Amino acid sequence: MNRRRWQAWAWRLAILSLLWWAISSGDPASWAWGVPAIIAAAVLMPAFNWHLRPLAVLLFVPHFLWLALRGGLEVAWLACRPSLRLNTRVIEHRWHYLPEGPAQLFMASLINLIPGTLALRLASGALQVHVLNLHDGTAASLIRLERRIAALFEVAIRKET
Amino acid sequence: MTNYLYAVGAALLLANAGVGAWRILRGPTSADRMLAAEMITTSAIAVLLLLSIISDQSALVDVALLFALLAAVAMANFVTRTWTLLRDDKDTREEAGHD
Amino acid sequence: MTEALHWLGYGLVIAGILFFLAGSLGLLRFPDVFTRLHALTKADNLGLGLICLGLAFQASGLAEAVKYLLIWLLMLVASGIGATLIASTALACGLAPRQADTPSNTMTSERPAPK
Repeated sequence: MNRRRWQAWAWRLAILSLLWWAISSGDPASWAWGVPAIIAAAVLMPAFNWHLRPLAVLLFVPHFLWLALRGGLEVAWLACRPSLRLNTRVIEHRWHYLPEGPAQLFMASLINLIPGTLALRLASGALQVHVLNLHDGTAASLIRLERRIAALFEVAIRKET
Repeated sequence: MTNYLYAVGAALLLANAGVGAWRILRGPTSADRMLAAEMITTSAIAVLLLLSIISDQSALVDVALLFALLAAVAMANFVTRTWTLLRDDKDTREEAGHD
Repeated sequence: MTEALHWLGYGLVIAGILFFLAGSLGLLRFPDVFTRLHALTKADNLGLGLICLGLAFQASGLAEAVKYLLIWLLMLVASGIGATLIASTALACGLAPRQADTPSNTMTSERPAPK
């Protein structure tokens, strides 16, 4: 067994143990059931071949929280504003960095939670994005976000063409 | 003080879920109904969390956790059902989109 | 210290409830299913997140705090993926998103349900 596989197992067991610890509220007696359950889950779990950078993930969490806060504030403000004039548009975001697969799906799900964007349809070359209130910076911020996610997924960033 | 504050909060969130119920009744599309159902789930989780503090029953947190798990399953169910309807024929497809 | 965390928790819970209310205002006021999806996925998840965070600050133990955050994480995953699924299903079923400056679109964006 090579090193990468051992690492994957260690991560799996660590994450499942953390989950068990949380849902059992840290009760030490529950580990009698917990350990077999964790091992069974680790064996039955489908293999992920996502190569995430742990450090990048840690750095991404505060950025995501900040984006989620801004998204919530923006939509709350738009909903509470007396006039309901929205510049709602559908735009296409062309993939610059991310290859097809989990990274694109991750970004499509993520942009639903950040300010003003909603993924409509995932096509091979582009992502259709529904924008609640389009302004000048929207397209550029999507590209910046894609760059960050590429860093998360260890995608080598190609030169912009 | 804590209980009073959280009871008011829970009541507000219940009223919130009432708005979702109104949206389910009114539609106009099944997509609207699904998203209203999702909103009711979110409100219900928040209400359960507050109630678990008010009534000092930590089991309600586990109920909320189960609700969160079920939300994901319900979502997948709605979508796969609508997609099979889409593939069947045009009539049911209209039905899927518009009630 | 714990006193301060408790007060911070109250503030976060109240803010979370306010976001829930704003989200349902959006649900009532926004014109079509896509804009309503915006209101819900963002405002309600942030509201739930703030409530979970607030309660986590007041929790008696670390494990309980992690459990609150786990609930939020699950809802984030469910509604983040769900929003795209609902949107693309609605699109595939022939609902066109309503866009600004195209008055003709407003007629076709939502056909009334057949009686």
